[in-house]
Amino acid sequence: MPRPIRKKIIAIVEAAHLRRLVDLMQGCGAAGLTVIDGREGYGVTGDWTREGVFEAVEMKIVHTVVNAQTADAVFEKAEVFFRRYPGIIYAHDVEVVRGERF
Amino acid sequence: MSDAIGLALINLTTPAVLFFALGIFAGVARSDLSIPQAVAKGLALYLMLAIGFKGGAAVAEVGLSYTLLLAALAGVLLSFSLPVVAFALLRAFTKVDRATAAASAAHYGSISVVTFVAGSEFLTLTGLVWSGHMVAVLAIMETPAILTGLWLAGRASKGPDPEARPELIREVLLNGSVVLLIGAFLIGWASGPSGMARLDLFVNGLFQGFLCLFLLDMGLVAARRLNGARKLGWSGAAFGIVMPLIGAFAALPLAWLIGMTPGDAAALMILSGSASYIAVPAAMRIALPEADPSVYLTLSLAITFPFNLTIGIPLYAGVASAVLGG
Repeated sequence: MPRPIRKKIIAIVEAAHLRRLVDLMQGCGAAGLTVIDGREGYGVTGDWTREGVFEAVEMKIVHTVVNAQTADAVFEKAEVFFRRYPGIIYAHDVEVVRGERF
Repeated sequence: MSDAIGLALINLTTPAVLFFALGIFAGVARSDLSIPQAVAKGLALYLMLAIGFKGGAAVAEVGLSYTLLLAALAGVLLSFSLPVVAFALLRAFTKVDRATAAASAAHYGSISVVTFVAGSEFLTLTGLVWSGHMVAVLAIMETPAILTGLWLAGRASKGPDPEARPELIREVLLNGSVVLLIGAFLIGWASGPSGMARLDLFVNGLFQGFLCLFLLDMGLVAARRLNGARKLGWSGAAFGIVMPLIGAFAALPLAWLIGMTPGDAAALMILSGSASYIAVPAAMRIALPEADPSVYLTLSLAITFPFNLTIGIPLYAGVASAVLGG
């Protein structure tokens, strides 16, 4: 039986800017999301790692599953957000159960 | 001269400094030694609680005087003005962009709690008595530099982000380290000698051990950050050593002017010569995301902090003692 298709959005953002990104997603209609800690990595602005007591440069990973319309709204606002703040955002299609929740 | 060498030797052979050196060695040698991040954060909280509480309890014992007000004013003046000097030096002698120079400059007006903790232990060890109210001065000096840094950045084409303002204000005023330091200071003050008697083992007996563990972690982190020093070049690295000296020696005439004791003057020099690496980076990431954190974290953690811990602290103590002691 075919299952409903929704968009899974994944964003990687500095801890210092997490709250504003979460607010942005909620404002666009994301019904739920999960934030997990990044451990280490690198990108165009250099490498990063979780270390000591320095939360400011830690990276957080935000996961949310939304419908296509909400995903468009999130991406439109994220364009502006990530023009200034370090991080990335991307999405792909996922199968879900209880599609009415997203 | 022999006094200065004697002080430096005393400092270099304290367990705390030796554990820091061990951390640097382990980091450079790529040992798998590591302190779990939650433990490091817990240790930082412990140090702030202990130093705040001890400062408050000391004030309860000897009482408040106008010297606290004068010391606070001196601290605020230094914190506001030192970033201007740091910014001018960075722009004149290094290639860092304006936002990064402003963010880095703010670090040098603000203070490092751990440098102060290590410094105050050294002062106690060498018999230089410092007043508990210097902890309040420490807390007061955290913030003005952030405002100067933002002002310096605001004069650039791209200043602080207006949308981030509420978050920035919350970070500046309610930063966890400021809340814990001031809170513990007030609790120590309110509970006085009887409170100290109850927490004596926690804030005094265990203090050296926890400081050693924290500095071991700081050594590991500083070693990781040493890679970033190459990016700074010689002039950037030299800034990380010259700026704390400028900060510390700017504090000396102020300390003399307001009649500080040699111990308090040394404490003020340690504060002025230190560079923040907890409160200011957090504020700068929010306000100036385009500033390069690898520059200011490398400067304050990998260059200035080790310099102060090994050479700066005994130097400031020796000078304060020589100039104001007699």
